Amino acid sequence: MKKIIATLILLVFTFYTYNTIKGFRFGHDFLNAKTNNKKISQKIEPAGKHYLENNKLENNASNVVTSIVVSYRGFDTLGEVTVLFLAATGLGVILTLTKKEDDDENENDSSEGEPSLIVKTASRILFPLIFIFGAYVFIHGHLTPGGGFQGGTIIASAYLMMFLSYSNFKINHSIFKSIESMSGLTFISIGLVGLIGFGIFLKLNLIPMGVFNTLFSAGLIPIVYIIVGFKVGSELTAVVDSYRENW
Amino acid sequence: MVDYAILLIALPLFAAFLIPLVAMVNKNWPKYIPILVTAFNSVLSINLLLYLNAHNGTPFIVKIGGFIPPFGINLFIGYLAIILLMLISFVGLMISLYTINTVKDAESRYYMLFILLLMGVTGLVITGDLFNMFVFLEITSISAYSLTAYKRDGLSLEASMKYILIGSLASVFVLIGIGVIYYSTHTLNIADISNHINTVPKYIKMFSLSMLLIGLAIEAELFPVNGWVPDVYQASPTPVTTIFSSIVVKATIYVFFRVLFTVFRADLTVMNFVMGLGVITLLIGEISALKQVNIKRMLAYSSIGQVGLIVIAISSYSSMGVAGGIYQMINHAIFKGILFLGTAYMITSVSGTGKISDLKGIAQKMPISSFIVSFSIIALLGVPPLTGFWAKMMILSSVMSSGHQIIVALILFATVVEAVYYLKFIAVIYDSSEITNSFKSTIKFNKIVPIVLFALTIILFSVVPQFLVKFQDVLLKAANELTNVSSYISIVLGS
Repeated sequence: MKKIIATLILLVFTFYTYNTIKGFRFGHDFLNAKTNNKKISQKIEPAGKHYLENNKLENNASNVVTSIVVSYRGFDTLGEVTVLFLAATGLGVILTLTKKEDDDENENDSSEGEPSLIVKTASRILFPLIFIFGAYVFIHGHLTPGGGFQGGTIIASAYLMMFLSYSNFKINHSIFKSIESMSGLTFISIGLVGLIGFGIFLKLNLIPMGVFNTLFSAGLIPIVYIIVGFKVGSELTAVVDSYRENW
Repeated sequence: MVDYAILLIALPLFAAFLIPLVAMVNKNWPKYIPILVTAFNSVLSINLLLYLNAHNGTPFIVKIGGFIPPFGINLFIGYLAIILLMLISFVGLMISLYTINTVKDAESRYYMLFILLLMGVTGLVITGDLFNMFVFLEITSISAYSLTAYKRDGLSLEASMKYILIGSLASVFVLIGIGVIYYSTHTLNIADISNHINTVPKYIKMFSLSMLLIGLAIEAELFPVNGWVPDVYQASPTPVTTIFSSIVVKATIYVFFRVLFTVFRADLTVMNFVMGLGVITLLIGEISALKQVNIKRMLAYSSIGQVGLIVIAISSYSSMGVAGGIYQMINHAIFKGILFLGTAYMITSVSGTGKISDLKGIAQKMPISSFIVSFSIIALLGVPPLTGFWAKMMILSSVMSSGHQIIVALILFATVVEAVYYLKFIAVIYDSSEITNSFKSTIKFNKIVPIVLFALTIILFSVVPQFLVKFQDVLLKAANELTNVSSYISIVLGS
């Protein structure tokens, strides 16, 4: 009986959802195409249009997505960074549960399943390359697709590769923790500088805006993305490490 | 200008990121940081209240990043936000006092999560952007999951798992709702959406409304989707439970109604539906509380019931009703603060397991705490000169005047049920027989002070008439901020 009711509710829900979103045109160019619904096209000036038209003037970043994420909606990014920080912390809280009981067993079979010499050597060579690629992605976040979150994830994946190929690979927890905290503090401090100097939190055009489409442009946006990159990289590495340690 | 209002969020965040570094220097320092942060926020919110009083009580916005509202993110602060901010920082301060040396092996991580939970709730109350609201909802709920599991025993892990499952479901519903709105209006600013919501086709509006309604109802503990509440309340450490009951629910109820009133400009049909949900929540909460043997569980069900009452009041849509609902939010936060902290203090003294019967005759040993707990129960039930009475009076008269006599009868019935189990509880703690468990007298200053201060607040709200008259004026203005959509839009977007 329960299952029948659940199925019925699910069917109604699916029908309802399908009917609502079947008219949606994902990826549709709203700004240039003429919409059939004149009521909407007349009244609404999409926020996206404003971003495209004023981005160069206000942010001087050639990647509009970055200037939306970091500048126009920088407060959300601060929140997202916090969410990641929380997730890493919460995971640490829950995973420390099993740590004490399994300590002895882990040491015995640590030598088993050791990867071959080829894997070890290759990952030792690849590690700095992946690391540099991650750094490239977040340093050029205001010019090319990518940014702090992506670059940080790439760096964390380099560490994941090292964890997989060396069973006794260890990271220094206090250094990672410090990087995590320091980058968070720097992000807020950048916001507070704007607040103290100009009365605007997270004002990112404090320094010279530079030449459009070069590395040194877009004010504080690349600096914020570098901070985010450091933070995400250290956090995800810590997450992977806490999974590995409590396996 | 009052741009420094952003410090309400920036400073707790700064403190939370600082805690790991502080813990490296000295392990005992992190536990004092929440006290400093909440004290700072209390002072700041009182400061904002004075600012608002000096400027005719017109709400103000804070632009983040310096971009004009529909394109950047803005905060919206009026009397309603400030009432909730003062509540959050005051209750937060009391609980951080109580927390010192209470939670077993609380390390720096606990205080970090605690501050971030309060920060998330603060953000929910003051933000003026729909997606930003979602981000703060995520911050609130993720820190809540981790704090629920903090004791790391079977019970708390199970509760946390349940909470994570249903909470993620809520997040997904909210996110889909926001996505559909963004697709149809091309904006995320609440005022701007509200401006354009009538151009959206009706079925799309209904779809996103129902998505957000389900998602936020889960967070606001409304009837069909509040099964997680008793488990989570029972399993989490007491200071955390108090925060959930006193603050987090209040903020999510605010968000719930901000979305209904302002974003969707909900009509009477939707409001009546929500009122119906409120009535069922009230009745089920109170009736389930009757047969509980565990104190925290009983208080959890009672808290669900009170949520129902607040929802009924605000969904009545009349300014008197909304004001009564906001008043009841404040009252309930303070009463539940006393009840959770007071009973937890009693239980630790008899080293009990949390059953009501453990506290038999505790009043002979702990007269002050027992008196304050009973006092707050009497105020909660609405005995005339005390503050609970005025709130219930406002709610009942507004529901009555909107023509729902049967709901008035049901609210009164629920109050009688509430009286039964609470008076039974008072009878247990004032029992004349000796207590069975071993009692060790541990007078802890930091545990008594918050309870006494909460009780003093009840007296302040109850007996100072000048304060009450002024307060009612503020409440009506706050209610107006929640229901008056056109003034909200003109404040944010300019006229």
